[in-house]
Amino acid sequence: MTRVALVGSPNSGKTTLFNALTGSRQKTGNYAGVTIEKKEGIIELAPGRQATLLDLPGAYSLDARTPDEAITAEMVRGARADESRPEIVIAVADSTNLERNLYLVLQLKEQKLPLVVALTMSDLAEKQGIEVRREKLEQALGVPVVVTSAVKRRGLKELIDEVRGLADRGAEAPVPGPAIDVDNSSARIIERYQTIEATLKSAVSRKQTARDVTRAIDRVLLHKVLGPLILFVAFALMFQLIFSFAKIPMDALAAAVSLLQDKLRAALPPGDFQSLLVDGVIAGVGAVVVFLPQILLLFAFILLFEDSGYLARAAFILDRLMSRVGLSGRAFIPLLSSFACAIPGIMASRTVENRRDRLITIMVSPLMTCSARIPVYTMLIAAFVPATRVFGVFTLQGLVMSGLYFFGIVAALVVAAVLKRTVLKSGTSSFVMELPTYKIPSARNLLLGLYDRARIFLRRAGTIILGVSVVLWALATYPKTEAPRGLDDKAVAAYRLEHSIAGRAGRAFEPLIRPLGYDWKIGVALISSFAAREVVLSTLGTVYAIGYDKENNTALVNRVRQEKTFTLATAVSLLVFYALALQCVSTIAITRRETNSWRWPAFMFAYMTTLAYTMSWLAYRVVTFLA
Amino acid sequence: MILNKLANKSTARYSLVMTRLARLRAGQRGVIDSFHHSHHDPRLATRLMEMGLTVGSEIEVAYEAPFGGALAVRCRGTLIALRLGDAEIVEIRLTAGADEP
Repeated sequence: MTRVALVGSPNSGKTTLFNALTGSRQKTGNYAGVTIEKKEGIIELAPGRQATLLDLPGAYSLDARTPDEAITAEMVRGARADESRPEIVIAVADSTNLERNLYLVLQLKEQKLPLVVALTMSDLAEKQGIEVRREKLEQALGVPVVVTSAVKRRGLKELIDEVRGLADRGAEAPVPGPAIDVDNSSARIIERYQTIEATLKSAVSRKQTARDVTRAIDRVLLHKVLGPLILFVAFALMFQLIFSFAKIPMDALAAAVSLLQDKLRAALPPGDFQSLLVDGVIAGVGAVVVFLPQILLLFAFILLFEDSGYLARAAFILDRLMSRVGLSGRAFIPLLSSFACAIPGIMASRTVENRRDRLITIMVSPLMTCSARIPVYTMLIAAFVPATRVFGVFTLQGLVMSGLYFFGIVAALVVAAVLKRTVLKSGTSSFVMELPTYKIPSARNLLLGLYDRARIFLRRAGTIILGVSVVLWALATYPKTEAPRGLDDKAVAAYRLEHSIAGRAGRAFEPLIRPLGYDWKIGVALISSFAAREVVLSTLGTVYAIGYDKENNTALVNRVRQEKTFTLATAVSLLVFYALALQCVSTIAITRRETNSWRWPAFMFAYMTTLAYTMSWLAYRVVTFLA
Repeated sequence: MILNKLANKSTARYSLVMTRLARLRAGQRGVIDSFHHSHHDPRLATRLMEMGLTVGSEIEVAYEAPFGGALAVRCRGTLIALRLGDAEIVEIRLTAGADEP
């Protein structure tokens, strides 16, 4: 099948065009060796004649500076071993910003691949009084040009027609072979811009229009005082909405999971199979799937911020803070994503240009408070922090929760600063980033983006979490022991767990965690949550023989309060441990893929465990002393 | 500061007042004269040029980052954020000051 590549600068409307051309006929994967998302879709050139459309990562230039750009440059030049060179390139250029966007178009033209230029956002250009004379532009560039608007669905058919024309010609005379080196001497760069200036002079006219909207918005959002204030309010509001809105579908999902468990328990004969299905598979996977609404909501906000052009401004405003600890302003985006989950955060780190800075960003991403920590925090806070009001508006519980978020941020920044000065020593890093014009985010992009996220998340739940749940279930079930007579069902379950492999491991573990204020029961919970922290609650539920109820964890909260060994000091120590420890197999896996070595995930695990252990011990000592 | 004052008084479009981009304040404009070598990022000048900051093009400081440390400059119709350390390598010939309309 003919392979067509979409190439364009970041913010050029490339992904929107890709979505408009392929609809839902897409699949996402990865390029070999790097976790850079590889998006492919199917387009129909003529009835019954299909072609593959590749959405290459956004690039400003073929002289790559980031891993993302490297992929694009290598693909275009046919320099990747695992992928063949595309036969046709669609160069995407934003009509409202041609002067900058034509730069990459010229570089692409120098590569001598069959090329068609797609001018995106023509509707916006019209609104701004920019008139592009297509024929003149075609003449000046020497390649076909199509005016498109994904929103108005304009020019899509013409673009496909041009691609078909190029494909027909390609069938007669195959594409030239060897890649051409990218000449990036300053003379060459200036020459390209001179070509652009001459081209625009003949092909584009700009009527004086009303005030530029972007400038007007920026006067407020980049204001010295208002800017940071709005940024703070926007993110505070975002988190507030995520926690209050997501609660409704999350409760519904949790109820559905318990209902399913009850139904299966009633339908299947009691025994190992029922237990495996209900307590192993559904309990384990269900505990994770419940977080889907929260993760999607957070992603929705991040996608909206990104699409609108605000995320780049946020990075600009916060750059000073980032540079203090030695990170690039770009690191802000991965760190923000890590509030949902460290995995997308670590994946987003590839926009960080400097390799060492990127590694630092990856190393500290798991310290940001991800949504898997929320249930643990919620339970412990409910058990040990009184629900008193502070200043009338806040509750003490809410403040402790915010405090834990703050703790995660501070930990990440401190570790970043330390790494920058020790293991990953490097000089001042640069930060150069385009601040795109503001745009109204496209609903289609948002929905397709969320769909993608949901799929990735559910796949993870269906593979890693499923596997771990089954293993943990086995560890907590075997070897089977006879419980003494006269105990009720829940006590029998607790007795059996105590004598299972997991229970014995917990006991063997006890001397090691005693200094942190934990007994063997918490030990079992720690072992079970080393793969995924959210599992801890169901394990504690079983250990304390109360049958963990996901709809509300009052039972667990009450039980924990009664436990003699579970003091305030233990709770604080446990909160600190969960804030700092790397209890997530998926994070280890993604770090391995992203850094292409076991060294970095091993280092990450070692430093986070050491940090968690030391800080928890310290917290336990301090709180015991004070209490 | 003296440089800035001089530039403000100068009405000539091609003044001879030279400075670094990092030293301009919001609203000040100039023409890119040349690039110095960046020690922390040898390819920085090339990337800046590729982003449109070519020698001879006009450039204006549009915003200073609220907490300092970075500038947003307008060049060829695009807004580009860069750190002061990066802006330090761009030699500018001042054309207009912040006080002018």
